[in-house]
Amino acid sequence: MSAAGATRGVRGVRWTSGRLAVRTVRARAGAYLAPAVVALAGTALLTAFAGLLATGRAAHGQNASTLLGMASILGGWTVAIVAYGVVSAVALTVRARGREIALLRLVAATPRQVRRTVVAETLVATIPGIVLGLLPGLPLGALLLDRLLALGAVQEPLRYRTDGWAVGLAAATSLLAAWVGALAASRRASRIAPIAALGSADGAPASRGGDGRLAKGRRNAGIGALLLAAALGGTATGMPVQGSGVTATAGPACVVAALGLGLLAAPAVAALGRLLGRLPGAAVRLAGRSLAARAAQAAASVGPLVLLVGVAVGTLGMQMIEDAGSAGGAGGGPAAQIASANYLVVAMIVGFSVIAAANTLIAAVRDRAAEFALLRLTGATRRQVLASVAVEAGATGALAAVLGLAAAVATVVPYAVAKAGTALPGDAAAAVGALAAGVAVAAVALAVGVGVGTARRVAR
Amino acid sequence: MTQATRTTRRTTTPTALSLRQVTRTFAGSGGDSAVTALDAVDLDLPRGTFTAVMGPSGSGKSTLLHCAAGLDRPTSGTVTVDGTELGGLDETALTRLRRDRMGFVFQSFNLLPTLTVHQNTVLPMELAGRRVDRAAVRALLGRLGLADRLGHRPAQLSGGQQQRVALARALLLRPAIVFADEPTGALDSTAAQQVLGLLRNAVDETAQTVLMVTHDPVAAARADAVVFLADGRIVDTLRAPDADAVAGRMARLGAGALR
Repeated sequence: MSAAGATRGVRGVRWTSGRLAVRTVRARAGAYLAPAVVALAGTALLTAFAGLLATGRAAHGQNASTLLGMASILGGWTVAIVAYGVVSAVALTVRARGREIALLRLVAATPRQVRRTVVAETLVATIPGIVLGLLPGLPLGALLLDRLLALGAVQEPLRYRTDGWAVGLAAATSLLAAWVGALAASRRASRIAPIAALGSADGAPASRGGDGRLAKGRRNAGIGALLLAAALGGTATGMPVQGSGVTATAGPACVVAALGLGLLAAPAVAALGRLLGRLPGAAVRLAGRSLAARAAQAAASVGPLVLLVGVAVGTLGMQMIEDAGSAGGAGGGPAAQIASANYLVVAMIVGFSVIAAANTLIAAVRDRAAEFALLRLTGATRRQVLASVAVEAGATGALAAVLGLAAAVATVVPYAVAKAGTALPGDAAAAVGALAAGVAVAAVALAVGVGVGTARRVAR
Repeated sequence: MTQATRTTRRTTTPTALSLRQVTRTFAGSGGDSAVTALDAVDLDLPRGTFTAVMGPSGSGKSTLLHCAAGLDRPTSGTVTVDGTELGGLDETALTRLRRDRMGFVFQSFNLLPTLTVHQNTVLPMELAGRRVDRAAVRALLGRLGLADRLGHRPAQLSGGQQQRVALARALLLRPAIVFADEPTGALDSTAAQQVLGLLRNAVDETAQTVLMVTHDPVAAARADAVVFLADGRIVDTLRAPDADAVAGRMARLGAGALR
């Protein structure tokens, strides 16, 4: 073993991964658009929170603690959500390029080199997104502070600050989220066997998981997240009515539950597919078989939708219960005012989730151009292809809505128990029910609209 | 590591590939009994020889190649490539061995679509962290008739040209053995003859060892020996084959399979 030779070898390998990454991203800009867009939208959010954090650092008293607490808690959750968005987007890219990755393994890339290449590719693709995301993030933070002042959550005098520190923090956390997401998604890539490159030459998915079975790491992470959500919810029920403790513990419960259910969605997708496969109608059966056979892929676009529904219904539902209580004269303190600002923040996170969900839906359908062409060749009309995509998207959207509503329960019920002593207080029930129905319908509509819209452009 | 590789290279073994009692069974699905794809196969390929493997569909040709190249693991038996037994190696060590001692040529070319001809050719070398000798690469691609195609992507090439790039990639590192799986299966007869001629040259002029799986008696006739597989067993070997003898032997095997 010559030390100099070994060092040269390692450096050569790093250099190769980096150069390969740049070449691949350049040649496959389309495939890496999804992670880049997620990074852009996520960075905008994180920059806004970093701006609030910087403002809080320069403020004093109640203003400082409100801004620092809010920005760091929400910023922390946003990092997790953005990382998840990157995981979903990169997972689809990796699946679509399964054969190419198997080929790399075949011409002698080690599993480690494949991992490093996927991480490098993701960073090469997301860094421009991160840089662009800083720009809308700064005015977004100013807008957020304006609303907080108007709602009375913080008091004048207060000046919005965006210094190098805030921008650096936003860029660093975004990069961290992208890196963590890439690292998680690259695990699957490194497990692709080189022999998968030798299958049929039609670019069929070269990885397992079609039957919806979960990898052990994924299953454990999902179950862990659900347990954490239950613990957060359970803790919240025992908290005092006054103060922001209930919001701070019950609020994240829906995020964690949604992430967990999203990770565990594949078997549910496969089961739903098998069910649809037995129903009458060619398009429905086709959609069912496709879902059953590509459950893991479909689950990748279910995840962000679950998050969208869970966070929207969970956090807004919490707010509606708070409002109903305030109207009855029970609350109305500073906690309620801070909570009011939640509407805006939730709107921002939901906005991000819509972008992430739409993004993965588009990528998932676009990657299937060859399959649609094959269906057309074997006698399916264009109408039938589009109909089966619509059924598929509707079914995944509905499943995501159900899972998302289940995730929302982890926030809404503990919050209601803590604040009103019942699982769902009567004066908020109608509003929360309408919210749940509205968001569920919106999620299905988003899935079908984006799915069919993309298929229309892809299928000839 | 580098040192170790060099040492092994100097003390090269006379046998490039050796299979001992290699059996590969696949678990049957849905209660079916297990399928035996390879049944106690013994095979030795001396350095500098060109061997073709033939047999009816499902006779175990591909499984033989996959096991020999460490792409699939035998259920029992041992595979030794250039003196190294594959059985005890993990995925990374297997990859390194494939990269250093094996070359691959496949029916579907298997070039990376995003890389140019030159980049595809040197990829294994780059992945191995070795210095790329640009002049040697140009000379090799020139010999394969690709001198004016260095900057092209695979989609801009004909099938025969793509297969010659795959051949360049396989030969560049002077591997102990080149595995070729139906290398002419997707080519017209002119391009097929060209690729076979290049494989033959690699054996005659640079003492490469080649193991080629094929359906085509004309292709098999370019080899030094043809090994016939049926039901996972080696049933016959023809030395210095001609196409008619190979075709006749295959026809009898085919009839046997139908019986």
